[in-house]
Amino acid sequence: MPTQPKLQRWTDLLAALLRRHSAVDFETLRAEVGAYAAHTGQRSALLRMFERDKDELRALGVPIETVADAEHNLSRYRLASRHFYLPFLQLAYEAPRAPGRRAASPPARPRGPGYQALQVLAFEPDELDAIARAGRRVGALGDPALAHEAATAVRKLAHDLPALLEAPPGAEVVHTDRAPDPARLAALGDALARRKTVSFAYHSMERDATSARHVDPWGLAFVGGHWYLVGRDHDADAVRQFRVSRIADLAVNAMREQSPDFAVPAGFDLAAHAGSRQAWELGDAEQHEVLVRFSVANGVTLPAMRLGEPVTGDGELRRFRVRRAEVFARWILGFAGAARIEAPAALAAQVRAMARAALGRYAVGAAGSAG
Amino acid sequence: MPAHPAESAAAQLKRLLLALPALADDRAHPMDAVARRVGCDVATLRQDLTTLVTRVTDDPGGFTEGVQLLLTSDRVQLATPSGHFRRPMALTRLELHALELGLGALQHEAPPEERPVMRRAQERLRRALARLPHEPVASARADRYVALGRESDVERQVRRDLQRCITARCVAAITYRSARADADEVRRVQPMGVVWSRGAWYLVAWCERSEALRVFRLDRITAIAPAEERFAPREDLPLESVLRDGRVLVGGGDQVMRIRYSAAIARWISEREPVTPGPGGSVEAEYPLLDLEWGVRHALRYGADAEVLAPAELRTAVMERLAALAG
Repeated sequence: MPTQPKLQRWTDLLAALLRRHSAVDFETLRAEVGAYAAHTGQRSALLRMFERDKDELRALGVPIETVADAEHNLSRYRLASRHFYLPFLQLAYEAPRAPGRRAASPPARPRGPGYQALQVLAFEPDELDAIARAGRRVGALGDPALAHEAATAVRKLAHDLPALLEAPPGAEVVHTDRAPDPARLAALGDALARRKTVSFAYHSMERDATSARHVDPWGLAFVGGHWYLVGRDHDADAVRQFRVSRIADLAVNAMREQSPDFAVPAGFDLAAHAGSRQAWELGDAEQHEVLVRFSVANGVTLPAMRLGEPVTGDGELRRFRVRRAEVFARWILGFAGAARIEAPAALAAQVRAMARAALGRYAVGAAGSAG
Repeated sequence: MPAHPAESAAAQLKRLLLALPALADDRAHPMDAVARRVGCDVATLRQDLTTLVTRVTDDPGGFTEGVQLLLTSDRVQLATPSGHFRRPMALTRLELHALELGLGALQHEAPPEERPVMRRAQERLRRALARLPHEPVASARADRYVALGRESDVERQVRRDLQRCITARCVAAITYRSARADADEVRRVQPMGVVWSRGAWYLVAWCERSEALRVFRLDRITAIAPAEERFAPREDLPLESVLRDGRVLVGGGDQVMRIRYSAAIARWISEREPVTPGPGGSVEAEYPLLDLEWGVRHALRYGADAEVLAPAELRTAVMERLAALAG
C-alpha cells in the first residue's frame, strides 16, 4: 500500500497543532493527520511514528510544547502560532531617508488562524544593512551549512523586508584561498553540535609529518582567511588548533550517536584562543622585546608602523614583543632596508646573516638558474 | 550521495515554509520569482509543491484538504482555505546563530561608535526566534568565531567611511600613500567596493585621474573625504574581476616573476600557490610582476629560501639589495 510522503505527514501535523490555541492529545491529532488516521498497523508503531515526527520537527526548530493533562501525564501537545511564525517585520519609519520621517503603518495581517497574535518588530535601516552584510559575510566563508542557515534566515526576513535582498550586491567581496572541502567542514560542524570526538590524519607543516589525531572539537574559527578546528588533542592532553584544510580521513565517533562524548569547559573562550595574531607572536617561546626603526614612511612601512608599540620621543621607532625571532627577522628583511632592528644586537646580526645567506644562494645558482 | 529521506523531507519543508507565504494572496505568481525568493530552482519548487498536494491514498486530506494548486509552465497559484503557513516560520536557532556570527564579525571590525547598531540588530533578531514560551534565547554561538584579520583604528575608520561612499555611490577623495611614495597624495575615485584577499582589504575604484579601474590597499589610505557628486554603477566591472589566482591585481603588462623556493618551505608555498617541481625538492612559482620593488620585497621575505629566477632585472635588483643589507 502506498504511503504518504513524510512532508505531507509533517504539514498535516503542523496544521493540526496550529489550528488550536490550547494543547491537544494524540487522538485528536490522529483524526487530522492523514497518515496517522489511515494507519492500520500496531498502535505502538503508530506512536513511534508520531514521536519520531515530533522529534524531527523539533530538530528543525519547530517549538512543539508537551503539556501535562489533569492527571499530570505529559500527553498533550501545543504549537502556538506566535512562537512558530515570524513576527511581522517592518521599517521603523516610512521613507526613512526622507525629511519628516513618518511612523510606518501597521502591517496587513493575512486571513487565517493565529496571525492576529503575532508581534510587530520594527528595524532601523542601519540595522537592516548590518543584517544584510552579516548574511553576506557568513556566506563568503566557505562553510556551506553556515551559508545555508544565514541565507535562509535572510530570505525569511526578506518576506516583509525585501530590501534585505536588494542591497547593492558585491559591494564587499571576501576571497578565501583554498577553502577546505565543504563536506569536511559540515562533518566537523555536526561533531561540534553533537559533542562527538573526531579522528583524522593531520599534516603538521612544521614537522612535515602526518600523524593520527583524536580531538574533542570545541570550536571552529575562521581567522585570517582559514578555518581552524580548536579542541582538546587527546594525545597531547592539551588544547590545540588545526587548520581544517590540512585535515584528511576525518571520522566522527559513531558510537552512541545521540550522547555527547565530552563537555566543553565552562571557561573556554574560543575567540581568545583563535584570535588573530602576528606570526612572530605565536607559540610558547619566551617573549623578547625588539626595537625597530622605520627610516621611511611609505605605503609599505606605514601599516607596519601601526603595529607594536610607540617609543616615547622617537616617531620612527617601534617596540615589538617577539616569540619567534627567525620569523620576525624575515619580516624585517622583507622591508628591503626600510626597517632595521636597533635592539637586540643579536637579532640585527641575524638579519644581516640571513641577507648574506640569501646572497650566497645567488652566487651558487647564478650560472644555471637565471632566465 | 542520495539524501537521507528525513533530510530530504526537512529540506522540502524548509523550502515550502518560504514558498507558501509567498503564495499567500491566492493569486498567480511567476514561478521563477517564487523560486528566487525560496532560493531554489523552478523544478525543485514545482516538485515540492506537487509532493505537498498529491495524495496517494484516500486518507483524510489534512492540511491539503481543499487546497488548489494551479501550475502552468511558468506560473503558480495556490489557494489554501485553511489559511495556514501564510507567514514564514520564525528563525531557527541555527539561522539566528549564523547571522549572529556575521554580526559578531562586523562588530569586531567596526569602530566603537558603530557597534551598537550590530548589537541592536542582534537583539531584534533574537525576538524573531522560534522558541518555547519559557525557553531562553541562547547567547551567541560560542563554538564558532570569525575574524578576517587585525585592523588598526585608522583602517576601521577608512573602511567605514568607504562603505558609506560605496552605498551612496558618491565620489570620494582618498588620501593614499603608494608603496614607493613617502608622502600622501589625494585622488578622486568612484569607490565600487572592497575586496578582502590574502590578509588585506583593498578598495576597488574607478580612478578619475587615470580613467581606469584601480585597486588601493586600505591600510595605505589614511583619510576619505566624500564629495557631492554621485556616480552611476558600472555593471561591466564586477568586483571579482580584480582577482587573479586569488591575488588582487589590476592592469600590468606581460612581465612574469619566477621564483624558486627551497625544499625547506616548499610545502607551505605549495599549499597556497600553483607550483611546478624544481630541483632537490624545491618548487617554482610564477607571478605577474607589476612592480619591481614589490618583487624585491617578496623575494627578500623568504631570505635564503627563495631565489628569483626571472626576470634578470629583478634578480639583479635583489642581489644588490641583499648586498647592502648584508653589510
